[in-house]
Amino acid sequence: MMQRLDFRAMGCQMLALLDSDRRAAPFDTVPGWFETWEQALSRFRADSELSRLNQRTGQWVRVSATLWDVTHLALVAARWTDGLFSPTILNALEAAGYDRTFAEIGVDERPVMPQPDGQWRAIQRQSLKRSLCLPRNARLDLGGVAKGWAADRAAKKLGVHGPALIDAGGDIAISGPQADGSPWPIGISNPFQPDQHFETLKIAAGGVATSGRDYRRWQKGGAWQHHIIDPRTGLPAQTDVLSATVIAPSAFEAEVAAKVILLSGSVAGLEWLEEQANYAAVIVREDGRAVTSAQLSNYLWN
Amino acid sequence: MPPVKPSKKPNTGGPGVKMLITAASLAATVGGWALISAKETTSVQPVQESAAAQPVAQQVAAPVFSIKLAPLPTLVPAIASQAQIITVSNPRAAASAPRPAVAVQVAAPPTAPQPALVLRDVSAPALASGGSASGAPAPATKTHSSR
Repeated sequence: MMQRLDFRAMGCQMLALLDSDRRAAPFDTVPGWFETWEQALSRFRADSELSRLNQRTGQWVRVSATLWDVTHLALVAARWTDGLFSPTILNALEAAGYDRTFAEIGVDERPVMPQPDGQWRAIQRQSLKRSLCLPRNARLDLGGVAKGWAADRAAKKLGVHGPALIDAGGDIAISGPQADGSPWPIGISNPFQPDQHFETLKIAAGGVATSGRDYRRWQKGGAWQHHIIDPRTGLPAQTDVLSATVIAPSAFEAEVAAKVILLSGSVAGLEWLEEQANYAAVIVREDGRAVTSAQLSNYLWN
Repeated sequence: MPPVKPSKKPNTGGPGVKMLITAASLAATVGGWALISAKETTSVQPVQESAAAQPVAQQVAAPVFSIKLAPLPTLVPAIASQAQIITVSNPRAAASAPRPAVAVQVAAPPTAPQPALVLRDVSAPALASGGSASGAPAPATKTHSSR
């Protein structure tokens, strides 16, 4: 029996599926998990742990295990991608107009000022004290990885009670095959027609995530802006990729890899992805064409 | 009178010559260091690491000047800049870290990417069934950009 739970968290629509005949008690507590994580990781809550950390730059601050883990993974991802993924693009994100929740953003005629990044390299950590010290001119934004991390975490916790799927606003984590042994069918939304999907994947375990500039965009300075910041320029990325979907061992990795593809462009992004073992991708270009990695055929539902 | 045994060490001139040799050696060493230091260039490093993309106005506003001197002979290894060190020392977090670390990425041999397969024109009107490939079951959920 497939149990289903829909709820909102982290500014997105969430879905939890549990393939089990028994009504597991933790199933109803999944929204509570996300609420706890959001309170630690959200930049939109003034009283969140992340907001308090960002107000104390230049000082050592002891943090929770959640904020420590996500920050650690974000820094690992930054090193893995040589800074193309960065957890310190908040100044640039706000300068581009994303200085409030997406629903609250309006039209702004002021020009966008570039805010180049790279300050993540100067973040200091003391693991024994679980403490962080941000450089004075840098603030953390974990929005690029928090949902993927939360999906992985929730799928792992829920997976103890049966095959589980967590969809955190499009970032999907799967604990294992369905109860009958079959993989989960996952659609890839068409960025040109969001209510349609143009491909169906079969995913037995791991993560799937999509990064795109088809939805979270707004007008500022007389031009369309979006939320995928290129740390090299400090501006919303100029790219021929409209959306990139990545299949990876975890939703966190998929989310990071999808951003790298979008920032790199379809040609360089696909080359980079082909060098990563156990990754596959579908890239939808701005011209409406979809290109795929060599490994994708292993995940297509034919 | 017994014959005088010849001294093993010939007299080379006494303490004055030794002092001269010592002073000359010291002068050569100090002079060498000074020569190396003089040849070392003075570097200018902006605060931001991505200086290439930084506006000129910001580079001028906050430059940091660091003068690199020649390393003195020592057995103590140089201390790396703290800003460049990110210690992975949380076992639990490290265990769940993304698999391909930086070292792995560097070590990976350059492989020629497979030719990309052009799937379809996804901007074309969708199929009545929902736009998916034929034979595929209805998806449990869909992946999309954050919303």
